[in-house]
Amino acid sequence: MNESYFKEKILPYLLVLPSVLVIIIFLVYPFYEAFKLSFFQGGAWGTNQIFVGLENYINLFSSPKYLASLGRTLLFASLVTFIGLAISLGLAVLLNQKIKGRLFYRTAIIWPYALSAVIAGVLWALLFDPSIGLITYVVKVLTGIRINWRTNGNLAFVIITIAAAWRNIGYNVIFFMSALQNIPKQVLESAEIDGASSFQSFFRISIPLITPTMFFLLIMNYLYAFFRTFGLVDVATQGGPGTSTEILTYKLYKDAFVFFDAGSANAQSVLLFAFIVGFTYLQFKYTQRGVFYG
Amino acid sequence: MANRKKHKRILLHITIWISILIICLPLIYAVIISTRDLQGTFVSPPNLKFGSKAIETYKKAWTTVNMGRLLINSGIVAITTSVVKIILAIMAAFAVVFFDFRGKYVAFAAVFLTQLLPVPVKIVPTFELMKAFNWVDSYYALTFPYFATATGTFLFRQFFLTVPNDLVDAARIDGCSPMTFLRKVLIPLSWNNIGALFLVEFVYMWNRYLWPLIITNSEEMRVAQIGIKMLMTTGSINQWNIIMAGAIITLIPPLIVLLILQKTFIEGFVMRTGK
Amino acid sequence: MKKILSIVFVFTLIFSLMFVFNTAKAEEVEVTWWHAMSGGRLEPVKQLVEEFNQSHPDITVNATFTGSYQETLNKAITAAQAGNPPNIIQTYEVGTQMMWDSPYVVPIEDLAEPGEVDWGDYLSVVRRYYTNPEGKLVSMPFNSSTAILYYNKDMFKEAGLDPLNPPSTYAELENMGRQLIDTETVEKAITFGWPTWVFEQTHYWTDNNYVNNGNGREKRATEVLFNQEPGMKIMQTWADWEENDILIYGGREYEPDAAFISQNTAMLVQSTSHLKDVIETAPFEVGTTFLPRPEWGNRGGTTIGGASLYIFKDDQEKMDAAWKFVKWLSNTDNAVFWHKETGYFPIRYSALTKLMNQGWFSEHPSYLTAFIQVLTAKESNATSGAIVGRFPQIRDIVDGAVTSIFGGQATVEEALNNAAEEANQVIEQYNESQ
Repeated sequence: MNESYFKEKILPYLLVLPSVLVIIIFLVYPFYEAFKLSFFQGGAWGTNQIFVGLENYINLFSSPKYLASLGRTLLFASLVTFIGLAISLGLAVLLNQKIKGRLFYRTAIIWPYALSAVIAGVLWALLFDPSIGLITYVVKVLTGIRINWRTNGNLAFVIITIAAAWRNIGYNVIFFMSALQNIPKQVLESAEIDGASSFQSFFRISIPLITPTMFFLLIMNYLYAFFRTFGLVDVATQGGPGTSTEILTYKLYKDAFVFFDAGSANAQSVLLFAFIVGFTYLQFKYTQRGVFYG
Repeated sequence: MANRKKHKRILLHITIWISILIICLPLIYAVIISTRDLQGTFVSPPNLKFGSKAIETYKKAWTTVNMGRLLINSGIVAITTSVVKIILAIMAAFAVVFFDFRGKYVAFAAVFLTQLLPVPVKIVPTFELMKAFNWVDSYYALTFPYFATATGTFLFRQFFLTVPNDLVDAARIDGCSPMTFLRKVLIPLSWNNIGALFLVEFVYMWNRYLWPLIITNSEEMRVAQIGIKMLMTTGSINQWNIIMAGAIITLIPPLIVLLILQKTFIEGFVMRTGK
Repeated sequence: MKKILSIVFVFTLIFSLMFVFNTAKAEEVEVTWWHAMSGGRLEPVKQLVEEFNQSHPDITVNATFTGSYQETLNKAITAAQAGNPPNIIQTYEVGTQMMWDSPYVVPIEDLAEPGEVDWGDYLSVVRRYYTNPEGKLVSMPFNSSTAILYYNKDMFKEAGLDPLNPPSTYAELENMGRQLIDTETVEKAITFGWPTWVFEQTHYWTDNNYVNNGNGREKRATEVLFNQEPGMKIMQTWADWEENDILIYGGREYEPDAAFISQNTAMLVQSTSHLKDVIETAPFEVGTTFLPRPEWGNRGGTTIGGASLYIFKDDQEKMDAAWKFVKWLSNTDNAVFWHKETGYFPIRYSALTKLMNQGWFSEHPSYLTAFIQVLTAKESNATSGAIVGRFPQIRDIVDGAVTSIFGGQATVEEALNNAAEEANQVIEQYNESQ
């Protein structure tokens, strides 16, 4: 810890002032407003604000659509996270071998990190397009079934899950690779001398040693699936068919800017905030504990 | 024994190549489709042959949504925001690490709040705020709400904490002012972090979608991601060739930034944050 | 300290530059028009705007494509709340009630001098749709369409059907669909673009209202009627077809076109506005005919879809300029041009006459179908089309019902009853907030 400070009294305030101002004006104040307005309801053209107490919240929790969207989002986020992490860890282990062309391979695998959710959405929508999609065709040849995600909600859900997980592979691989490289060579070498197979040393040594990274990525992936996949859904499925891909952020957007139900949208905002607080609490709790292994 | 090792190595290469192919498949198919004309996209069964209409298709994607302007906007927004974020993060981290002042932890906690308040958590009131400022459909609305960064501030704080005390003491004894110390000592030491943070923020800002979708109206203010959405909204049959051309054009700038800063990113960000 | 100041200075500079970028110079009257025309319709829109700007040096129209009708409407509402609306927006027919209730919209009939426009020259079905219960035309008709049947003539031949004799009733559709499948010409016979819209249209086609209070034409509608007998019958037929491979659900809006064009279905119900796109893209001969009608109902007529133009309150100068533009857009020559370029039907009788004199319909008989279909509609509240608050949301709800029926998660009765209940709540909420 650094105990050596400069003595200036005003300068530090000036240094933090811009950040603090931005935070108060553009983050804290709007959130406070969201919280306050979650107790009101108003007309589409911004008229007639009426205080309704907890009604917006009660409506949400008694709405099968909201509860379904909540469950769907949790499932979506869990699938994106676990599929994404499993594949990424596998890739990171492959890339961590001493092989020729490693740098090239790494780049060829991590590039989707540069990609937006919107682009991920259109790319996978094309691959699964009911009429001209490559995957649709391959599935048809292999199984004789013509898959159509415009009608099949489960399939649409699978597609946005794949697209979202795929998009985040690059990010995950980068972090896993660096975690694997940080494992001291001596530990692995001594395990090998003790006669441990590479599987054994992977599960007994590498995995425990990268737990902190794993938890970090776990939280990051959940947050990603919750908050950064809106574009994907909006361009690929618009929440459909029916409501089968309507995740929480999409529902929030629709209620706020399509149906102009600001009260409900604000209540949904507040609930989303509760999720983030939950995730962040877990992040602290578990990454602190995780550090003991690493 | 040596033979087995060789086989293993070949197997490894093959596995990696297959993984790469799978990961790149969506992009490869996109590139192929973007070289065809509209009729060409409807060939049945689908195949992997390149078309001959690439120039026309890209031209069409470019002109239909005024892609030039959109890319410039995305660039302005992404670069400005990334640079401001980096500066604010360095300033805040510098204050927190090298000064002792009342309210230090409050300020630090406030920065941490940015992590907790992504766009959807305050979307309606932020929009109302933009209306009140008369900022709807302007660069201000696209940039200002994003200037605070928890990630960046933490990154620099962590890095600054590793700077040896002796260096600070020496600077003080030399009569070096804090700002000179920051400029002459800290920033030169931080280029890796700055580069890494630039990549993270640039990619994030370039790829943002929900906020620009809501806050921009005119074509002059639109960003590239919205352009893809506009290409997708044809009110008719999806013109996949043109959509893919638009997507590929939009993908190139962040990809270039990633390729250039890849190494810096891993050294300056991943190694620090991932722990 | 100096450092901070210089940083502050640099950024002030950057943002002032942004500001310069933000503000456009205005010398003539500038009119902004937000429209939803893209794809093949964008070019004709651009041409029209350019022509207007050239022939009217005192007015500059800036046309911006702002996304789908729904997105254009959303943006206009938020912009109007922010006190900065565009001058003209183009939005779809289901936004009508919302626009009528808006405090920001000026009825175009208020902007027109008496006798300035010969309203009698506009098709009755079009006028009726956009006229509010007080008898005032609120928005300017621009692009009007209706649902028609497209069919693949080559496939009809292949299946041994007469390509000049497409189905006109549900029974015929079912028989011909069966023959197309049994002869292994195609796997699924038909798909619907905008299924919920087709559902609405089929109500009107059999002269049934979709919502109460005279289809919302007498006073504000408070309830939907689609879960009554006609709606149940229509949907049950569709569900049976879906089960027997005759019908395949292809998506909510325009996605089904792809299935038809790539020859995965032999027939398509879709808006006439796609005529040009479909004919140009399809690698086979396309035929069009009236929307097939269930035998059991009275003959009503289909109403129009598409969109109209609304003018927002602003300075008198701007509103006048906007009015000049929308009036010009629907003059006879432009109506003819627009029809030929897109397939939307001409909205004026004089345009029809002109097209006939040019021999356009004998060369392009497909373009006549939609036109005759709406011209022969009976005059009733049903064929004026339903008007109800939050109609887009209701469409969403019905679409959910349709997918759950086709997906086998609910029976027709359950799905429509639930949808009706949900829709009625939405309407109640909307009406209360007015």
